Amino acid sequence: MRRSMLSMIAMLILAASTIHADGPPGPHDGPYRPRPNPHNQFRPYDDLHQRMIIRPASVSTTTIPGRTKIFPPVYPDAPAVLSSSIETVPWLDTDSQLPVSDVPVGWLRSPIDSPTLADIGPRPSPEPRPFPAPDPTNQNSNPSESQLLADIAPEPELKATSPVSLVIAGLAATAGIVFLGMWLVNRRRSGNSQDQ
Amino acid sequence: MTAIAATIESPAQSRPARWAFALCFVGLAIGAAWLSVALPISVAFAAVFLFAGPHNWFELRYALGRLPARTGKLRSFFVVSGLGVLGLSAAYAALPLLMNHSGNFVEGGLSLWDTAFLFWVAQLVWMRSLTNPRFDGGWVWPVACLLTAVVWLAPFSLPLMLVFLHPLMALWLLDRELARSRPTWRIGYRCAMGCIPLAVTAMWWQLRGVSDLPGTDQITLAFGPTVRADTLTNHVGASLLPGVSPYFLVATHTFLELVHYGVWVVLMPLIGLRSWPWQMETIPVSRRSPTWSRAVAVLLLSGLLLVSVLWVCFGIDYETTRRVYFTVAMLHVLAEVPFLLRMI
Repeated sequence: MRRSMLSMIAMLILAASTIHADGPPGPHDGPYRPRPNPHNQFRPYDDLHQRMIIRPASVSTTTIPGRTKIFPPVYPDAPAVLSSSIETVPWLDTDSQLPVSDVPVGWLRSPIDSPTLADIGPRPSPEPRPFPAPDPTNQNSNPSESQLLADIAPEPELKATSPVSLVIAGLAATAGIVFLGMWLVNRRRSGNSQDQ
Repeated sequence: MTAIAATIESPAQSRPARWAFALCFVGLAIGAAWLSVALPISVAFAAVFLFAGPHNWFELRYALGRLPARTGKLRSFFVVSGLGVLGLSAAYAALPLLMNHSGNFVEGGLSLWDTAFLFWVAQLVWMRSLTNPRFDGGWVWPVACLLTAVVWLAPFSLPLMLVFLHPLMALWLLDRELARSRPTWRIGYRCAMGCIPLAVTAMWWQLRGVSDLPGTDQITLAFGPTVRADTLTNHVGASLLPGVSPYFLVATHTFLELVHYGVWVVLMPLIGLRSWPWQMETIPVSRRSPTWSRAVAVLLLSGLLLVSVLWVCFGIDYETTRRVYFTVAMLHVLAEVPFLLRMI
């Protein structure tokens, strides 16, 4: 009886020790790995799987015939001069049985692949995204009818006045000046006739 | 008959009342200005929701009480007024349909509408100058031609001016009504009207450097997902006036609209209505015959029904209802022009 209780308590303690501090581990919780910097332009970042993409070109680069060397990580933040000087520090040997997928992220770079000053320049701007086509099933995304029917002052585009508008405006201004002169003359005449 | 407005008072009796009226107007203006600056989006949406329909109904009721029973010698004036109000309103509602075509066509159409509006007003002023009390109306044609030149160069200027000047027409009509029914109150009212430009100046001083409107708050969210703040900025012509703060434009328009609603819903019934709204015998047109009386009653009841429908539609889709309302509202904006001319 006492032995069974002690074993039960031991099992409880063991179970409690395995519980994660933030709750039990979920099905997607894997072993801890440092979160890579997605803004690092020299380390392609796979958003879907949240891990670095290991390019085959980096793996197959060889510096010594017959022995592929894997060098310590070269970060783009480091000066390019330093990165190009790393040559002879064999941290890892690919001839060992270490599979590529288990190599720590970011460590697969040879001096040949290390960035130079030209590589550290700004990344070329990506292709502009095409404007999404309107969804015919979504009535709110199509502003043609309901929005235009009741628009009091449609949003104008600033552009030059058309020649027709200029001609009409000129004619109207001329007519206005002529009518103003006629009205003033008539007013003066009527004032003179009243004085007499 | 229960008379709302009092009969003619002696100057000594009316002195406290006229200053109380002036203080009431100043309080209305200051409150409207404060609300417009503090909560421009919420107050703009809420004011249109609450008062757009009722103020039109009060305006209709006031106009019915002032229109003559028979047109008589003013028949041509009323015919020109009616044709202009209906035709220009229909054309204005059809203008956005032209946006399906080229932009130049829209500007040309808007310029045509502006020209028609200007010459319609000029014709009404000219006809008004030929009736008592007469005045020299010869200046109206050169002014109309010069303004036509302006609207062909800047087609959007006239609709934008109407947006801001229409609320001020209510103040003018209130002044004419005071001259008619409470002449001793006009001095206080005209002194109190000075707070309007002062308030606009103060708002400009405070908001001149503010570019963006404040964010959406809980009151705005209460109107549902169909409320958009850019509707307000487009309505007040923020895109046409890039050098002016959109916040100031929206707040100023909200302030003027609030004062305008206050005039029509509160002040004008207190001053202008001499009976309860449902007393048909005080409406001159309804005294012509029982048929006319029933027609006026149906018109007023239909107006009340329309106010309720407008509230429901605002609740369902505020954005669309607001756009439709402000297009149809051109009808009452235009109708105020001949009405004001007859009161001068």
